[in-house]
Amino acid sequence: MNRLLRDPAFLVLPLALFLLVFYLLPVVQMLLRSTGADWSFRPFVDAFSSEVTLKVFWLTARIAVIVTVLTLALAYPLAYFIATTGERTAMVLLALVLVPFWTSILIRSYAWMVLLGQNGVVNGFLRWTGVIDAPVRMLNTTFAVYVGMVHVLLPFMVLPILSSLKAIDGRLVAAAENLGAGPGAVFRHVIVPLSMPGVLAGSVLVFVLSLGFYITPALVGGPSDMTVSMLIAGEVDLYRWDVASAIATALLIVTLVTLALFGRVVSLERIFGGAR
Amino acid sequence: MGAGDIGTTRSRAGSPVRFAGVSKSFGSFVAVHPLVLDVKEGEFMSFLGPSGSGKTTTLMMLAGFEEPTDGRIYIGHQDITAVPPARRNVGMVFQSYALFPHMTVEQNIAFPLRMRGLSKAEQMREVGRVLEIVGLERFGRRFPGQLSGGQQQRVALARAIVFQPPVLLMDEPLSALDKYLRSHLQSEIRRIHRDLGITVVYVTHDQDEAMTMSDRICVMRDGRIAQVDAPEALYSRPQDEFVAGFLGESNMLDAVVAFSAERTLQLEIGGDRIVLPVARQPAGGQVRLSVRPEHVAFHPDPAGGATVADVTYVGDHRRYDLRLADGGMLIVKAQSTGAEPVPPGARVTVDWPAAQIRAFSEGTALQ
Amino acid sequence: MNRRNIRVSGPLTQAVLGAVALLVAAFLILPVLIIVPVSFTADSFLSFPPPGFSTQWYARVFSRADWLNSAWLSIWIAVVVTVVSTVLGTLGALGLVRGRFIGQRLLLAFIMSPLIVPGVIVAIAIYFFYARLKFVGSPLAIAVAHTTLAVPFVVVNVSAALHGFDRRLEMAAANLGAGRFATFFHVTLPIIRPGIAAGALFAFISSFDELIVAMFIAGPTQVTLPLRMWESMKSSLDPSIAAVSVLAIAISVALFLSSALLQRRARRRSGAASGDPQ
Repeated sequence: MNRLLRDPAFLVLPLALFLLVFYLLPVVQMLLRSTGADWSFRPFVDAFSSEVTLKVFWLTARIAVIVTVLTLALAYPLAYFIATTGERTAMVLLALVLVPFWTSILIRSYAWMVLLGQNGVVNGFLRWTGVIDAPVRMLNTTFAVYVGMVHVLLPFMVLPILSSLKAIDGRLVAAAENLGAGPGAVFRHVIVPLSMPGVLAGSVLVFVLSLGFYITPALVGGPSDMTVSMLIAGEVDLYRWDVASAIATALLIVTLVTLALFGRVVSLERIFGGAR
Repeated sequence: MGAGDIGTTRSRAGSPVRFAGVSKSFGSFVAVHPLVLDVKEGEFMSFLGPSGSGKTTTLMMLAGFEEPTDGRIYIGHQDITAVPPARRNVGMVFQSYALFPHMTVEQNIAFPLRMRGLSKAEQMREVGRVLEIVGLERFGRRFPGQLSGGQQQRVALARAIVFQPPVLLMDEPLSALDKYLRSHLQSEIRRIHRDLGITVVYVTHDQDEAMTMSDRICVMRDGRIAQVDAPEALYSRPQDEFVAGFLGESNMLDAVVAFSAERTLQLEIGGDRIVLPVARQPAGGQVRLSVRPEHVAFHPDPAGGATVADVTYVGDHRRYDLRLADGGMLIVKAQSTGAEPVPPGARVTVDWPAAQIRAFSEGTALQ
Repeated sequence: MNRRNIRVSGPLTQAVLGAVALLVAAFLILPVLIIVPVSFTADSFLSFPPPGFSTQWYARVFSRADWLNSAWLSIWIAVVVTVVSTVLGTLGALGLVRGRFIGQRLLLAFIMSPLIVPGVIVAIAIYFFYARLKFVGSPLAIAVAHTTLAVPFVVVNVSAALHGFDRRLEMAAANLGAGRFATFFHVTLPIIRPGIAAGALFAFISSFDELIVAMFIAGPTQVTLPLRMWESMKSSLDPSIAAVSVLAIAISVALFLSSALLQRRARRRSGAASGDPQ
C-alpha cells in the first residue's frame, strides 16, 4: 500500500481533479445541454435548420483553409532562411517571430485596426506616395480578416517547420550533392520531404486554431465575416444557450475529428515548450 | 527519518559483502540467476562480463536501485535487502559520474555529509580531506561543467568516499575517458583503495582494467557467474571456454582424442600429437583446447606441418598467423628482439607447450 | 555537433530568400511596433503619421481609475493563476513523466486540450457552469477558469525539463543519503527550475492577456484589462488603447527577457551537462 502511494503517478491527481471539476464537467454539461432535455437533439435541429448556421460553418471553414495556405506560403521561406542563415541573423529573426507570438491577439488585432483604418497607416502611406487619391476601405473587410489572422497564426506555422528543418542532418544534403543532385533537386528530394512533418504539424495547428477564431474577425472583419465562434457568442447573448451549446458541440466535434485524423503530427511540446 | 543514523556503520575499514542466492527477473526474462558470492572485507572485486551479462544489475541491487526478485544481500552482518538506497551507506561512482550540475565541486562532495547532518565546519574539513586525496584542492569552487572528464571522475570518486562508506561501488567509472587518462586513474583508484582499506565492487567490461586492478574478478555471463578467481588464476586456469576466450587472447583449437589413460590424454591437432595430464576421455571424442599466443613457440623446419600465413610487427613482439596442417589457424606471439622474422610462406614446426594448454569438453575445463 | 548547414541555394537565391524572409518578419513585427508611435500622438484621434509627440494618452490612462482598476485586477488574477497552475502543473508533469498508468496518453491530451479547443467553447461551457453555481462575476471565478487554460503551458515546459533530466542524478542523491524529499528539493527541483520558470511565465502571460473567458464570466464591476480594451476598441479607436497596449507589451517583453536571461545564466553557471568530457 505504501509502495502504491509512492507511485509518482499520484502527483497528477490534484491537477486531474481540478480539471475534472472546472473544465471537463462544464464541457460535458454543455454537451448534454446540446442534446436537449429528452435526448431529442432539438437544439441541433434548431441550430442547423437555420441557413445562417450552415453558411457560417462554410465561411469559417473557407477562412481556415485560405489562412492555412497563406500562412504556409509565408512561413516556409522564413523558416528555411532562419535555418540556413548565420547564427546571429537567425536569432534576430527568431526573436521577431517570438515577440508577436507572446503579444496578445487582442493587441495585434488592434494594431491592424490602426494600420488598415480610413486614416490608418497604410492608407496614409498610399496617399502620400500618390498611389491612391481617396482612402481605400480595408478595415472591416474579409481582406482584413485574412491579414489579421495570418499575422496572428504565422508563428504557429514557422516554429514547427523550423524545428523540423533544424532536425535535418546536413550530411544528407552533402550526400545528395555528392551523388549529383543540384540545388533544386536537393531541395525537392531531400529538404522538402524531410520537413514535411513540420509542415503538416503547422498546417493542422493553424487550421484548427483558425476554426475557433473570434477576436480578430470580430474586430477587423466586416458584417458578413462571421465565424462560428462569433455565432456562438451571439446566441449566448440572445439567451439561446441550448442552441449555442449545439453549435459549440458541432465545432468541438469538427475540431476533434480534424485532430484525430491529423493530430498525430502535432507536437505541442515543440511549439509551446520553452522560450528558446 | 533522522538523517543522522545513516552513518552509524561508518568505519575506516571495509565491510564484507555477501550475495546469498540473489536473483533478478524482469517479467519472464531472468537478468541474474541465483547468485552466491562473498566479497571479503577490503577486497577489490571486479564484475567483468559483456553487456547483458547481469553485472550492472547485480551492482544496482547492491546499491538498492533494483530490488532482488529473490535472495538476500548482506553488508557486514546486516541484511540490507530491504534497506532503501539512501540508508545503505555504500559509496557509488556512477557511469558518467552523475555530478549535480547546479552545485560546485565542494557542494557536490559535501552533499552526503549535509544529508548526514554534519556541521558546516565538519563538512568543509572532510571535503578538504578528500579533495586532497584526489588531487583537486584548487577546484572546489568550480562547477562540474567547467572540469575535464578526468577531473569530473575524481570529483565523483571524492564524493563517493567522503562519508567513509565501508563499501565503494563503481559502475564502469573510466569508460568515458581516453586510454592514457584511464590507466592513470586506474593506478590512482588502486592507491585510494589501498590507503582506505575500503571494499570495492567494480563493474567493467574491460578485461585489462579488471586484470590490473582487482584482487579477484567475478566473470559473468548470461546472468550467471562463470568463474570467480584472482586475475592470474583466471588467466592461467580458466574454468570454461568462455572465460578462456573472454580474458586475454586465446587460440581455441579442436582436437581429437587419440588415446586416453589415467591422467594422460593423447590428442591430435593439426597433424601433431600432444600429451596432456588430464582425466580420461573416450577415444575418438572431440576436445577443445585453448592456448595463449605467447605460450606457443615454433621453429623453421622445411618438413614442418604448419605454414606462416602472415607476420605483423607489434613493437615488443611479432605476431604470427600460422596455418596448421589441418587448415586451422594459430596465433603466436614471439619476442621481436634480436630475432629475424620468419617470412610468410615458410614451413615451421609448432612446439606445443603441454603445461600451458587447457582442455575443455562441452565447455568445461578437464583439469 | 556533426550537423552541417542544410543550405543548398547559391548566393543570389539566398539573397532573394533573405529579402522574402525579411518582408515576412517585417509583416510580423511592424504592426506590433506601429502601436508605439501611435501611443505618443499629440492628436486627439488615431492618425498616422502622428502630428506631434505627446505623452497625453499615458497620462490619461494613469489618471483613469477604471483603467488602473482593470490593470490591478488582471495582475492580481494572473498572479493567482501563476501560483496555482505552476504548483498543479509541475506536480502533474512529474506524475505524467515519471508515472506509468492506464490512460496516460489520454490524460495528457485532455490536460493539453485547452491549447487547441476553441476559446469560445471553453468560455461558454464555464459560463453556463458558473451561472448555475452563481459564481459569475467573481475574480476568483476568472482565476479558476484561467488556471485551466494556463496549466498546459506549465505541464509542457516542466515535462520538457523532466525529459531532459538525467535520472542518475537522483540515484546518486539517494546513494549519498538523501531521502525522497531531500532528493527532490536539492537535486530535481533546482535542475528543472528553468522549465518551471518558463511555464510560470507563460501561465502569467496567458492569463494576463486572456479575453474570451473573461468576456463571458467577468461581472460589470470586475472588468479585466483585456476586456476593458476590447470594449473601448469596439466603441472608438481612442489612442489610450495604444498606450495601454504598449504598457502590456512592455510587461510581456520584460518578463520574457528576464526569464531568458535567467535561463541563460543558469545554463552558463552549470556549464555543460555532467559527464561531458571537454
